[in-house]
Amino acid sequence: MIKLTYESRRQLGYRFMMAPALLLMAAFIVFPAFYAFSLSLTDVALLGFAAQESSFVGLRNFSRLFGDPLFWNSLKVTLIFVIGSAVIGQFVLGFLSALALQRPVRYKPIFNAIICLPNAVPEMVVGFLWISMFASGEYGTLNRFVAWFGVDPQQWLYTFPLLSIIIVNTWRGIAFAMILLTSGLAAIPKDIYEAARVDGATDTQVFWRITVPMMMPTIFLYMFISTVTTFAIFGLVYTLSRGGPANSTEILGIYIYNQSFTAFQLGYGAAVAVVSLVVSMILGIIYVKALKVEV
Amino acid sequence: MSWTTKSLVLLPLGAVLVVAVGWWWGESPSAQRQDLPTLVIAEHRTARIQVLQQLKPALEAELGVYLKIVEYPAPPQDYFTKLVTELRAGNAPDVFTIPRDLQMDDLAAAGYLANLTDAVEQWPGYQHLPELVKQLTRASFDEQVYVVPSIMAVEQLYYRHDLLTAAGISTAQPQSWQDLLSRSRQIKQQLGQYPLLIPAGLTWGMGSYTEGFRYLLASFSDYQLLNVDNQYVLAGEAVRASFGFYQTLVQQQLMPVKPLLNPEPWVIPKYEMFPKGQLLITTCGSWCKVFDWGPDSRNPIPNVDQAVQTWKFPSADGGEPFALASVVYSWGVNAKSRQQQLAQQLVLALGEVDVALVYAEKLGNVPARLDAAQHPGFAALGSRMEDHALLPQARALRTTVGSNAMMAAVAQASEAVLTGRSDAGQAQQQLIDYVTNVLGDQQVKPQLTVAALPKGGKQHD
Amino acid sequence: MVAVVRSSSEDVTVTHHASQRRAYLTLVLISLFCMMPFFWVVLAAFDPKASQFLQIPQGVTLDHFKNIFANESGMRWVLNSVVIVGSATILTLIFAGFGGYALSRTQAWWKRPLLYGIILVRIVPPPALIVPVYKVMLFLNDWINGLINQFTADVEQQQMLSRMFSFIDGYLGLILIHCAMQLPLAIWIMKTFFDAIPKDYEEAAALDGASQWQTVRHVLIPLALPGFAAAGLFAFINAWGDFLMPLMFTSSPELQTLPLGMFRAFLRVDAIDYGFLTALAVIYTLPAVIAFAFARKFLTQTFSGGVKG
Repeated sequence: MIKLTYESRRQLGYRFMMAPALLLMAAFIVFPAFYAFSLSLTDVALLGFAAQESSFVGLRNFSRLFGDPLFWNSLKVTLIFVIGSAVIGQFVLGFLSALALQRPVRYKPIFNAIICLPNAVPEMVVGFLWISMFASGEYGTLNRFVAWFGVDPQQWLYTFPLLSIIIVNTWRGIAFAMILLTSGLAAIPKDIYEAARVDGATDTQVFWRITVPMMMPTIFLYMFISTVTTFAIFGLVYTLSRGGPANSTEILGIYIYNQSFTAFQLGYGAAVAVVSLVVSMILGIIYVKALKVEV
Repeated sequence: MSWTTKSLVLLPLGAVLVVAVGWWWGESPSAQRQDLPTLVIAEHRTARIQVLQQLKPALEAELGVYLKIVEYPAPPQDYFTKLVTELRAGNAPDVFTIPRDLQMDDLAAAGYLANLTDAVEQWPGYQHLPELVKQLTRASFDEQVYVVPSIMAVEQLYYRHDLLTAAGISTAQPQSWQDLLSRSRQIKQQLGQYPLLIPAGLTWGMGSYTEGFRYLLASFSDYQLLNVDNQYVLAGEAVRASFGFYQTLVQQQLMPVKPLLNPEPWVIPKYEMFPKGQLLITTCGSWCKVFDWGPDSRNPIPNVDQAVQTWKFPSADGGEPFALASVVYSWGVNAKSRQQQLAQQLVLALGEVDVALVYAEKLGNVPARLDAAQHPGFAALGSRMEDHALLPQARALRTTVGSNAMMAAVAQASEAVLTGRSDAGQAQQQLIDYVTNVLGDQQVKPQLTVAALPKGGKQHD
Repeated sequence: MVAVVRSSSEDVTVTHHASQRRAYLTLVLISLFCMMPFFWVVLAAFDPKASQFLQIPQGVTLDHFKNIFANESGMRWVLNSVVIVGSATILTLIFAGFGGYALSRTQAWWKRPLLYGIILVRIVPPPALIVPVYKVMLFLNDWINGLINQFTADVEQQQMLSRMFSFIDGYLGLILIHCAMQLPLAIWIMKTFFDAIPKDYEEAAALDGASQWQTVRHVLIPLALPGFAAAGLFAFINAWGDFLMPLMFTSSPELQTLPLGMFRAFLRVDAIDYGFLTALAVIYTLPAVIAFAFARKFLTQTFSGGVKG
């Protein structure tokens, strides 16, 4: 009897301990995520009469959305950005460096630290650094670099805007891919490799027959995490290009911001946000189901 | 404890120490003039801030206040975003400028602007304002005054007088669209260069309306963008014909289309082609001879006052050619300001002729008030004195709530004409659809005439 | 025969050397790519004639760094960032400590849904919350300013209080929103670390007559210290580097933090002081790099939560 009340008191205690964190997350993340749905059905705005009193407009925002070329452009740009930087750029370079670091090379900690450095830099500084890298004219760093190969000075952010932000995000994310994939590589038992060597397998065969299959779970985990985080990027692109020039780097996050705070149409911005929420929730649920995350 | 854990404790502690010292150090010198009431003014752009700094001592002495000037981000869009979000959150400055007249209705309708009607109507300066300006300072939906005008932009066609004269092409004022088009064809034939630029397209943004489409709409002397119910009138012939004008320019290659599809579309035609004589006529405003091609600009045209001259914009329906006028950087008072009286006095003081003349001179505009012409400082405006004289007859199109959406729609629809995806009729339909979609049916005049549209030119689909 | 054997063993060492060389080449190239942008910022920060371009400094100066402390705005940005991100981190640690412990120890029905919920919450892209969070903050802001106006009629005091407690353009709002954004990951990390501490330890302490507080202080907190370190570091790094929240919720110059202050200074196209900004960028980056160096070893442990720190 006494034990029971003790136990139930404990249970009550857990709830109290959970409460502040839950309250904050509910107020600033969970409720807003649901609130986005109801806002997307209104014409709420920061300008005009709707700023004082908004009204229900049904699915008007969505019908506009699906006919809006800039929205489709933004989806396309986001997709290219995610695939280009997370799925290809970071992954390939991260995997290469993880493989190279598996070898008995010297100065490992130094290479490791250098590759990790970009990951630690705040978004604003990333934009700042790369604006200097991409600076146009013959004195721009990248322009001087390509000049060695006989390439004329370019206006990188203007001529190749999407490629430029993909390069920057790749640069920033190599470390994450490297760290995660290194931990995956380390988990492959060494004796499998030795057995393969004894059987006379070449490096290439070892890589494709052993490393890659054994790495599949890690690669999946990486793909999921990096897709989700790249999908959520805002500051990096905003500080570099603010979605321009001419909407060519307007990823979904920037498009939401621009619709909400430069066109001041919060309701429409919320409708775009709903699309973004739905996409990421689908990804999340697939992940939770497919990988049966241990809790 | 390991070294790691120790430094995890020590580093934040060090940071906190720095903060504490810095706090004490940073806060101490901020004792300001507490005896005087403080008014906060938001300002952006270096040129405007310099002018305000210059005027500040006199204004402070006159009103017995301390003026705190807060610098806002310079790009117009950043300024406006910051202003609007602050107005909504209630922490906006007492007094601020509204860059263009067509932004006023949206701000007023949102309840951000203090109603200045009584103060302005009793203000001696009011009677010196041209009729047009009096209209533009009133909100379309309640006819109340929400801003004090200070300076104006006068907008017309600017052309290369030097090059046309040298080529023996007439520089007489074109009277009609046909006149302008045939002059353009002649230029193209004789000089082999692009004759005319009327801004359009997605990347030019708001400017596709303010610096482009607006001229064409205003060419119809009986056309108004708004009807008596404050709805946008987009279904009429004027709108279709205006898109048709673009279509003609594109089809006959009278306008450089490619640069308009670029990001920053103004750079190539206005700052490169026009100074080099590869573009002969463009729409522009009173500031252009200073900032775009003046001696201190980045792309100076030698002897700009003679080399570049102006035509009024020709009409489309036999009316007189006209100049457009816009109220720019008018002063508004925050509806939530805790010092309404003082703030009102300040904006009225900012509307005085001597103040406006300083701004007009530094920013390449003209003062809004007509009595400025009698001020001894007026001569400093130089060739812009002629622009000022145009104010009483100038035209403008009033807009209402939702001007943002209307302009975005113009940008999108005109882009479709530039690229040849749409003909004039289709572009007009796109315009109507977009505005209706954003603002709702009740904000757009019911479409009666669209169905009976004449075929939009010879253009294919 | 002998020759064949020799050649094959040579073959092995040759391929070994070749692949070794390949490894070095890969690492050197990737490292160069990673380092390239830093040369400019580091050189320019000490260059008396700093510009937008990478150049060899004519001399070495510390003036840019001194300027940050002399220049009121530079110092203010640094302080605001430290105060806001620091408070948010501490708050996150407290709430995540309690939450993580409860989640680890409870067997109640809400455990599993909550854990899945936290994963999903981590996946919500912050830009998607721009509008609704802004509306929530507006609502709270109107409410708190109403309270402040009731509390005092003095304009100066009102302004002071509203700078402290406003949700938009106030310290409190930024601290809470940063805290909320960092909580899911922090809770996850704490829960994982508490899971690793056997319940027996607490029970043993309790049997020894230790009070609940003593158990927490002498048993739980020391054992969970690495967890707190990891959670705190990630919360700090993420909040420190965040750009979106300051962009949406700060506007007055007095409240400007490093990311937004620097961004706006960079927008003044006609008057960019590159020396000042690069020095500031170095100062802004250093704490993040140091924190990351500590946090790196925890990085893999947070993956099971599904989302990167």
